[in-house]
Formats: sequence, C-alpha cells, structure tokens
Amino acid sequence: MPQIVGFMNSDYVFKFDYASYVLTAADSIAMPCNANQITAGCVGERAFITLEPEHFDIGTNYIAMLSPINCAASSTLTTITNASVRFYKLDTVWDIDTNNNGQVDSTEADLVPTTVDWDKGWTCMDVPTSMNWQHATTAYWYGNWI
Amino acid sequence: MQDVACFYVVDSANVGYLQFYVWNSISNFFELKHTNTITSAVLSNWQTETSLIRDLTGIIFKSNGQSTIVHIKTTDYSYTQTTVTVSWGTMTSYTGTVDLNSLYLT
Repeated sequence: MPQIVGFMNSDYVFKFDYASYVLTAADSIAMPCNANQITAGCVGERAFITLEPEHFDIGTNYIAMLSPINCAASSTLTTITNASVRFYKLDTVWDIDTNNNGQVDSTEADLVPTTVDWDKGWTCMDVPTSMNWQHATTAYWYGNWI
Repeated sequence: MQDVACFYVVDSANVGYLQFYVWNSISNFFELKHTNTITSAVLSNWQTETSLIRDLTGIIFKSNGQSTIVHIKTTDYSYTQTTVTVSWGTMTSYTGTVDLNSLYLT
C-alpha cells in the first residue's frame, strides 16, 4: 500500500494511514513555516506555493510540488528568475521544539543547544526559464500568494 | 485477483461514473463489468481534482466538492461500495479548519 497524502489548502500536507476503511492522519508537513516556526526562526518562504493537485505528486520517497518562485528567492529582496520544484522526503524525522524557541528540545540543557533545522527534509531545484512557468514579477518579489 | 481496470467517466450532464473493466481473454477486449454512479453534480475541475487510489482490495475514490470518500472492492468482483471515514484523532498539531469537501488525496 503506497503512502497516501492529502491537503485541503496550502498550509499542511497530511500523511494518512489506511486500514479497514479508515484514513487516519498520522503526521503533517507544514508547507510554508507555520506561525510558531516563524517565531522560532523559520524562513517563511521555505515552500512558498499554492498547493493544487496538478502541481503536486508523490513517489515512494518524496513528494514534489511545483512553485512559481525560484529556490533562492527572498521576499522584497530578489527578483524571480525561475520556477522551481520543491521536494520533501517523506520519512523525515523533524527536530522537536515544543516550546518554539528555535532549539532542539533534547539539547536545551547543553552548553550550546542545537538550532532547529527548519529546512529538514526539503530540497529545491530550479527549472529552466524556457518552461516560462516562473511567476511574472516586477522589479522585486513582494511575497504575494498567487 | 486484481485484473480490474477502473475509469472515472463524466458525461455531458455532469454525472460521474466509475466503470470497471475486466479483460476478456477469449475475445481479447476489455469487458465492462460494473458501473457505479458516484457523483451527481461533478464540478468543472474534476479532471485534476479527483482522487482515485488503489489499495490491496480495490480503489479509494474522492472527488472535489464532495465530503464523502468511498472504497469499492474489486478483488472479489463484488464492487461493494463502502464509505471511508477520516480520523484526525492523532493529529494534534493542526489548528486549521478541516474541510473534507476540499480534501485532495493522492
């Protein structure tokens, strides 16, 4: 049985287990960083996308999403040069940061706590501009959802 | 036995059907064995917003704008339709609104 995932909007992708006619949400993947993650230091445009079925696919190990913004785009700082494909590895084990202070919980008592890796599991690849799929932009990207 | 082909077909009246075909090895053609009328008012974007997923005993079907998810059993050729429920019990981190009508599965 392959992994079943689903989404209702652009905030989270849910991983479902399936048995006996019940889909059970077993895990969630925050697409753009959620509010707590941003407070703790996550860069909001990690997966700056609008989730649509036609821009989304799943394989054995990864989900892939098309984004109209290049990997290195930074809101209000850069122009958009390419579209991109954002990949997320399905078996990623997230750093646990229940108090949202940006430090991995299990290391908080250490002399130098480990900083949460907000990009864990994510990779990105720009696609050629010949695909003409990048978002039309003016001088700078202002981070508007499209 | 899982030699069943499944197609989701929408007619001009926006009625959606699941059609199940089995290979007829005597005459070498796909023979229509069963049709489920599954959606009475299909939305215009059905081509991209319909989920058809195989599991070990059949298919799981979900269309956009419908909160109902169904499973249709194909392994015994009974085409029995059963409602699939969604449990969010262990998903404590999600604070958004659950909207099964908009849920897309893959």
